[in-house]
Amino acid sequence: MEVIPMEAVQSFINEVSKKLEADQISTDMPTRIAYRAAHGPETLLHEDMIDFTPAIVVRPRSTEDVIEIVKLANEYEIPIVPQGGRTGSYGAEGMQGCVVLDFANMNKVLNLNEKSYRITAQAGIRLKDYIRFLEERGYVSLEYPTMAWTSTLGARAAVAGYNKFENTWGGSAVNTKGIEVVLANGDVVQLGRGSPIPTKNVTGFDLMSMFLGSKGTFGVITALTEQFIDKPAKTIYGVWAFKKIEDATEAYIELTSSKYTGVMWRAKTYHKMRIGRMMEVMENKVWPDDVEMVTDYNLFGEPKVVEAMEEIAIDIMKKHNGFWRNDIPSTTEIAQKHHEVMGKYIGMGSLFSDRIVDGGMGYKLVPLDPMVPHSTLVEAYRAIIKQLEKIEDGESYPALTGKLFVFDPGAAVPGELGYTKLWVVLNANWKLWNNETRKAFKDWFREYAELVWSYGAALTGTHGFIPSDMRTEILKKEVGEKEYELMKTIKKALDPKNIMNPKIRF
Amino acid sequence: MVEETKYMSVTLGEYDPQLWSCLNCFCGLCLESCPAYRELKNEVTSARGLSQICLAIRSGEIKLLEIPDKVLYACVGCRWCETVCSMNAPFYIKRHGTRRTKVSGTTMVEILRSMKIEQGGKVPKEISTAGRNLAKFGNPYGEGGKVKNDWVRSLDLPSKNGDTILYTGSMVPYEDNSRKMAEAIVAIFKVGQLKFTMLGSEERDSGAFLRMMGAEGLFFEMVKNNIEVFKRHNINNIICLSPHDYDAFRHYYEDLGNMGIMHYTQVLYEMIENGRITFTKKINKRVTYHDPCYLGRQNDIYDEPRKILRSIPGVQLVEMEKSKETAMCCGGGGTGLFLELPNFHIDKARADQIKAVNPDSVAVSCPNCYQMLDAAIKSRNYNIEVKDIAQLVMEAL
Repeated sequence: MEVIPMEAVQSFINEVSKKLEADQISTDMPTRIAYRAAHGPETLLHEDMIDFTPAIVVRPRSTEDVIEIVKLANEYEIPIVPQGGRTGSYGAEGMQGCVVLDFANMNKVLNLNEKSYRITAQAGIRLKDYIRFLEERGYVSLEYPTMAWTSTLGARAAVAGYNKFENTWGGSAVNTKGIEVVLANGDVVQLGRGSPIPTKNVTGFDLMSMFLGSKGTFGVITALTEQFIDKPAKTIYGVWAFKKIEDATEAYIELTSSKYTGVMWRAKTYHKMRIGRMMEVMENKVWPDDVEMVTDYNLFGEPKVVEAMEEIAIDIMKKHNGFWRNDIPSTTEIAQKHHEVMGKYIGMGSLFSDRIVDGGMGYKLVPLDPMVPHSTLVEAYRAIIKQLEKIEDGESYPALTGKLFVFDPGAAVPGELGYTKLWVVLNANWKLWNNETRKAFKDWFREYAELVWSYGAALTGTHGFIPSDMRTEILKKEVGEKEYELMKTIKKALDPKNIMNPKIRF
Repeated sequence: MVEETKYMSVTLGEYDPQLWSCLNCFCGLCLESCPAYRELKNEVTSARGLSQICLAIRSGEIKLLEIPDKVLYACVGCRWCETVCSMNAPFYIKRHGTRRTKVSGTTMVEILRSMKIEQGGKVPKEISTAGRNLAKFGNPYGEGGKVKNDWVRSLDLPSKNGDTILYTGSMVPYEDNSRKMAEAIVAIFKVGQLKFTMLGSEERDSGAFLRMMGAEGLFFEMVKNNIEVFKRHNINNIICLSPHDYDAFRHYYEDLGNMGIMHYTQVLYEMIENGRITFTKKINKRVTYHDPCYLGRQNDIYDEPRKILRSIPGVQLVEMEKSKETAMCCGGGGTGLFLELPNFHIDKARADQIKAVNPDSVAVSCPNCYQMLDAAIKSRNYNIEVKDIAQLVMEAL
């Protein structure tokens, strides 16, 4: 990792201290330590947390503050890492010698246009506050991540986040309609799809989309305009059991087809490994071994429409051999308990760990989440499960034995139409990881990546993690050499000194 | 793992699994309502920040004595983080969790404060003075026993009156609001003809303050002393005025045997239910209730105070947005009663939340909350009276 000269760091700190109030700046070691880690597993792959330790943490109060910080960082070539709730898969960790931007003070709703279904807010507003603001007015936020209590709105756009109702409404990349960005040279630009707010324009091109999901590598998002919707009048939840992965997956594929998109806001499959464990530790109930999967659905809309769709959904489930039995925990239990766990999704790292047994240490989640076309979903699922078995078989990758475990072999969640994000989650016992483990994991990952591509899938759906020092290698293979070079050209044009979150590698 | 008891001291080494659990998980659910984070907007004071600092101390990356006071003493011990923590929710901990096995910013700062004292670090003067007074006089104000004995004598109680004590704690009678609160409780007990006694100056602090200050050695001395006093007086039931003492007796005292421990709101509720006291006057007031952290979140007592208030004729009870499990601290937990950090006004933030429901009165059931909120509401010039539940009951008898 490139070392930032101490003189430059000190000069930056001196200059930024002249521009901002004292309580906006922290250079003490405890604060720097508090802002270096993130939920994502990248830290597993480093021997020393010093690699992530910023030189300074700054809390801007306005876009003008951000401009001052960025201009100075550009002058002294100090890397900038903007942080939200730090609950994403990668990108929010600090880096040695960087300036971390914490947006806790930029948390206001700036404008609400109810007739046009648009809301504009500062980047640091917590999703919980944002969602509540809309709910109090009879609306539903289309930014609805699992970690809503901690995530910030700006980070949703920065990572192109997932939304619980994605089957109907899409993720952050769809629902973000405008962004305010501070570029590396200190310029502020207002970007929409063609122009600041409207979604279409006959001239120019879609500059905003380039920034969505770029994880702060092109600029710092300071405010956003999002679309929201009216609260639906009725919701219905249903869940069915299946003895075969194939049946459960085919039912899910049919539920998420274009015919039902408007009312089928969400559908998902769950493997017995995860849901059985959940029921065991939460309810002291044994999951029947012959029930391999469950598939559920959430219907939203006008009562008559939702009720009619429920009949169709039941027919679909039955057609694919869906059933229910008294020895399976009740629908309510599954819905409520799973919701309870999902509300604290990251805490799932405790489910298979010592923490669940005797209050010992929980594991770190390693999310993989490939985006798989429905045309190969069933076959890909089986193949991925086989690849996952290599982690624990003790022979294929012995250095991973006892240090990495399969938590969930895959939960199917709708991506874009006809594609699924297969939520595969591993558990890592971080304290046991050493360089041998790290190498073995990367070797396993290369094999996994080739497998995913062989099914026409991409590596990153919702959370998909890629080790940072493999990203260039992976990116070139996944998007192509020429396309990779185009990305580098754009990055260089926007950020010639490579100060914008440079640990995200091109 | 060795079966442990709840009163047990915890070292940073023993707490290592919880620190790693937090670093592994990194959910940040603790941030949303952490009052210290809310004030300072710096994650360093949150449970998520503190766990990383504790691990850095363990690895030798930073030295404890170099950590600024604002980091060590900002936590007010409200245990919000402990309640919402992802790593505490799933299941073993929820059912069997203890001070040693729950991820908790409060426990982390208690350990760090304790280590600081052991390492000879400079403790803020306000805290060291209060700690010394607690050790020497049994109260944080440095008042001798005569004041408390004279006050108890003035209450005109029978000298021997059963095996139940009203334990008023170390703020009574030295702090005015707490004294008024205690006097209202005594008056109600008299009306209801409850048999109880008081120990005067023999009653020393429960140790709750000392543990939060990190004075573990003094805490255990206090525990030992109090147990001896209770045994000497053949006490079988303790009615606590302060939720902090109630919590300490329930969770941190190992040798109390079958001692009955109640908070006074539980007793008042029983007296109303049993008809030992009846209301004769109407109080036409819009009242909101502030849940003390150590009565609510820490001990799940939410209903009795509300039932008492609802039973008072004319009282209209309104809930704050942050109430019951999500209630925000008054700022007087931890070392907040003694140490005022710069730009740190949890009490005023809570006063603003009280004001938002536009009450005539805010009812409290903890002397710390009473003192903090009374001062905060006065400093904000809000036209709201702060009253203990017992005072409101007394008004209606």
